[in-house]
Amino acid sequence: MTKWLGWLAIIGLIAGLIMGFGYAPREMTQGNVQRIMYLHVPAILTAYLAFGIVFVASLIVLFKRSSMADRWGHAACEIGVIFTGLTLVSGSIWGKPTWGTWWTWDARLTSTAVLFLIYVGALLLRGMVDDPERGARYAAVVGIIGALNIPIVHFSVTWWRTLHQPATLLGPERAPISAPIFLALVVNLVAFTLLFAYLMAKRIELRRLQDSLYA
Amino acid sequence: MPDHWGYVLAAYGIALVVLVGYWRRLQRLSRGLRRSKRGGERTS
Repeated sequence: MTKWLGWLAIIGLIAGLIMGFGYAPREMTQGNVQRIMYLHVPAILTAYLAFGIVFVASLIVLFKRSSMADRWGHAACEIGVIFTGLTLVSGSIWGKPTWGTWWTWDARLTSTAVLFLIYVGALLLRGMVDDPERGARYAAVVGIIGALNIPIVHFSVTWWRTLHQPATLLGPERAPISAPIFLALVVNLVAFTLLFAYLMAKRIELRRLQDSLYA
Repeated sequence: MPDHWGYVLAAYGIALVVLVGYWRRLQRLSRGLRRSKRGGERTS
């Protein structure tokens, strides 16, 4: 099953690259540098999904003490951090030629960086505590606090005046992009979701193996 | 506006390195754990 997910993810990513570089047209104002969007937007939306899973898993860990929920939360947290890191780096690279700067303390950028740091903190906290059960509970508390930041990240572009553009997908209005660009974005989003599912399955499997060895 | 292909390559290149690096880390961890499991089964 995991292997199949892996192959599906690879096929999805290749299709995403073809859509992003071959099918989608060159954007009128930004030129080809806008193609970073096909990496940047799916990465953050997948990170939202990962942290949503962390939130639900954290609640289950705190109220039911479930080790399965802890495995899910741990895996989603780790992968969410990677996708958020990719969002920050790709956004910074995209920002330099379009805004003229690698970084600015804009509401969207700052709240995303805070999101990243919260979940890195959750992973560090888990690793620092000797008792795995206590570590899981501490990480769950941080996981819940971190999830409260997700709406702030997403709506920061509408709540405050920011340099960052408004949401392309999941915005209050219809996506302000042409149909081919929208389609390329959706294909890449599906590819990233498949990649996320594959990495989740693999990471959960490893945690299960770790738990059975060190129990 | 110029195309800035260098920036596009850098963004996708870094993403590739990070994702392949993470996948390799999981593979390594998996091999190590399976080896320990086999070792544990043999000694018990």
